[in-house]
Amino acid sequence: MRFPRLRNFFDSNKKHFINEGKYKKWFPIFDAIENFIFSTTTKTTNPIHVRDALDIQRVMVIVWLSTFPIMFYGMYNIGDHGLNYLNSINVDNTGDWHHYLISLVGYENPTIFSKIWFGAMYFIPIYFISFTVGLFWEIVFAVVRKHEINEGLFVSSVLFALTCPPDIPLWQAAMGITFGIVIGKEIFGGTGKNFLNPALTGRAFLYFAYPTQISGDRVWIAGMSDHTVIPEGFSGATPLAYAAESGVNGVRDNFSWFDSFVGNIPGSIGETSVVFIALAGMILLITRVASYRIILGTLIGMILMTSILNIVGSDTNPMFNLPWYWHLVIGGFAFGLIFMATEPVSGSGTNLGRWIYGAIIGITVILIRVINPAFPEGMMLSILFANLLAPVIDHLVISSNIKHRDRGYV
Amino acid sequence: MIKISKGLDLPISGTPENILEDVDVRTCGVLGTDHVGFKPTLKKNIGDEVKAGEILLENKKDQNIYITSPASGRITDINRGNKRRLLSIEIDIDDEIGSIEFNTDNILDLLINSGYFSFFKTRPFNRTPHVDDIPKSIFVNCCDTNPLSIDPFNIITLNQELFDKGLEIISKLYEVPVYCTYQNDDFITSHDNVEFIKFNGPHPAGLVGTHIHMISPVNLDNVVWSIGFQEVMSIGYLYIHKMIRNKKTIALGGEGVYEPKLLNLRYGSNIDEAIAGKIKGGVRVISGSVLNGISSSGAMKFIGTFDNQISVIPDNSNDILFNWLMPGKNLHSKLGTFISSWIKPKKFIFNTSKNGGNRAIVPLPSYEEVMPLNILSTQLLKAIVTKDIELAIRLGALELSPEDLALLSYVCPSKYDYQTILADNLNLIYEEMS
Repeated sequence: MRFPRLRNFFDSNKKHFINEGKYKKWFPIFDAIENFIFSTTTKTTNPIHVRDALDIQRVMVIVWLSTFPIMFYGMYNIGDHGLNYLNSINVDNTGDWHHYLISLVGYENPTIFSKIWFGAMYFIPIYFISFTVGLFWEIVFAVVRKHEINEGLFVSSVLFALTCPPDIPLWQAAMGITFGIVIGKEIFGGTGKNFLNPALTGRAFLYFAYPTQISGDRVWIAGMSDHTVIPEGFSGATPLAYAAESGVNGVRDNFSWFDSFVGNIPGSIGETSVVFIALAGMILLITRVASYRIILGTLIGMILMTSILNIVGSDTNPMFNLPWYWHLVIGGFAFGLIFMATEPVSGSGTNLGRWIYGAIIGITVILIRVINPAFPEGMMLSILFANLLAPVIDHLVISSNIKHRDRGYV
Repeated sequence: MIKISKGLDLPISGTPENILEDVDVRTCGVLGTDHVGFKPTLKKNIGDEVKAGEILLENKKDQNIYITSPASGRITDINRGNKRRLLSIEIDIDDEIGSIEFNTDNILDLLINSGYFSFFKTRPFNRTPHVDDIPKSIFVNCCDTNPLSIDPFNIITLNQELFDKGLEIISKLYEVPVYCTYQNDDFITSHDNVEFIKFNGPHPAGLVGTHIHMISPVNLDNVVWSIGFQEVMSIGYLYIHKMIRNKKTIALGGEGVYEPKLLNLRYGSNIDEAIAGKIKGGVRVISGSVLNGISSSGAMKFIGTFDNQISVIPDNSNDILFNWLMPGKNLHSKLGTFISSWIKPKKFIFNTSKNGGNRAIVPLPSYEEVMPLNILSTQLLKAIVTKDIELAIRLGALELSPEDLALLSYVCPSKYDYQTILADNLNLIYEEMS
């Protein structure tokens, strides 16, 4: 025991939170704080005397930590585009409260630090709101329903924040995470019992509830929605919007593939950089927290569907000719692939099912992107759609396993 | 040869060496928890003298099933737990009293009267069979892949003729196939009427549940029986000497033992006595393996009838500050979230830390990676946790006994105890069927 005084503090105060202690209602909070600081002091019981060192806390923390590079690049990217835009219209003011924080560092002669600072002033409030509001609901449900506070919140809140556009009003972020945590997860019993991805549920809620503020060409660059001037040759449109309008040539005229790959494009905070998303993907695959089956299945489905559409071609829909390597680097495909599709609880739970589940995501994301005229982005909807299908997929796999087993007895 | 690829051999320190020590104890006992579904009627009371082989307990539900005394002596205590459930009967050993001689030529009667019939276990349900039932086949298990176990070959060769005789008796008992599974290349496979099958691979390659699944899968209509090598040797001894075998050879291993090795000790030995002076302080002593054993203390301090090992590990928890952030170079994990998966120590010191709080099941790939059977692990676990016995049966719950799920409990990040949950489900199914 390396920190006996801290340990003693917990041991001596635990009695107030258990059995008939005066704060027993608040035990989930005590438990969460204790587990956050020390690993559990519980011992094994009959009949299993040793346990793998891995627990859900560590699983969630691994995912959470793997988003950090994306977070920092996202902040840099917000700053880069935001400052670029503001300098192009010669305004040193974001036009809202962010200005007070950003002016501490300034708008002139952007450096890497001032860009990250600029982005941080946008991202950190969004993340802070997502986390605290999410934590509030987690605690409410833990205390009322008497279950533990689940570390899944760490992941849901950061993923939710990273899928928001930089210019999102904070109250909307609060609404979104509330919907995601409460409707997407807690009313079904919390992490492990949800059938939809909580972060995406919250994001989808925003998408449909506030369509004017969360889509279009202005929300993807910080500061743009508060100004009316857009200079000649400057646009806040994402590559996906160009692709929908004028196909692969439209994208190529405005962005290089390499820029899209590195992430130097407008978009949701965390979705732009395929490089850093791939890095996180490596971490999740090496630690085997994410299922390689889902990732490969999705990639195969996406490449297959894109190739079919490329071959079929269309005179009226320019999106048909967008090749798969462009689909990979624009919009939320990469982010959804690594972080959202691989969520183990809402995804398919059988190994064979995971391939099918992935393929369905890959196919439907392209169908929504290319053929559906209403939504430029399809990753969120296709993952939620596959979430709904996952129990059916598993049912089919289970039935086939049962039939196979029954044939074994002759 | 059947090769198992999925599974996990725990890299646990304290592997027993092939050195034999003879140990004698003054007290021994019978555990009331060894046989699933055994409702005991006491045939003896505190203070009574018993002979080795004399009936101590009779099964209320099946009056031909007995548990007999492993030694001669005097009953000193009868321990009961919750709801007066029998935990153990303690016997003060006195070899002067002598043993019961079994002079019958009928092999089945011999097994029933000596209580050795209860060495058989049925699959499904893992219970003692009825004496007039006939199995579809019989499995003799001469494998052991449990952590800290020793290859049964090393124990069988100490007394090869006992094993040969026992195997011969079992092969003649019924006209059904007898499968003998083994893991050592030097294993003698020259018996008539017995099919020898070699198993190879990580744990659970040595569990009889794995063998049955691969060779002759069971359901309610296809019931097989299984028996372990140790019990086969005891049956051989019974036939040759006309009295019960009172000693067996087991493995003593684990980080808490000074010299991990083999012990030759009495059936039902008082473990406290048997390993006194051989273990370090602050340890947990387990009758059985660390994955599926009973903590040996108080009324449960006797070695279980079916246990071939005693495991001793440090009894403390990993009290680590900010553990979720620590690389964990000394913590073992099946998945790759600890640095120990990449920079491996050769052996890990396992302790009794639960390593996490109870959570709902999150279907990570670890379950499937330690389950070599054609069973959908995550779905089966969810079915038994929710007591959906209909689905559990269709997913293969009847093919399993609790020990088969031990590795799944081990790797579970949500810290469920699937063994106890499966046992409850099997009992529920059994009651629904009868």
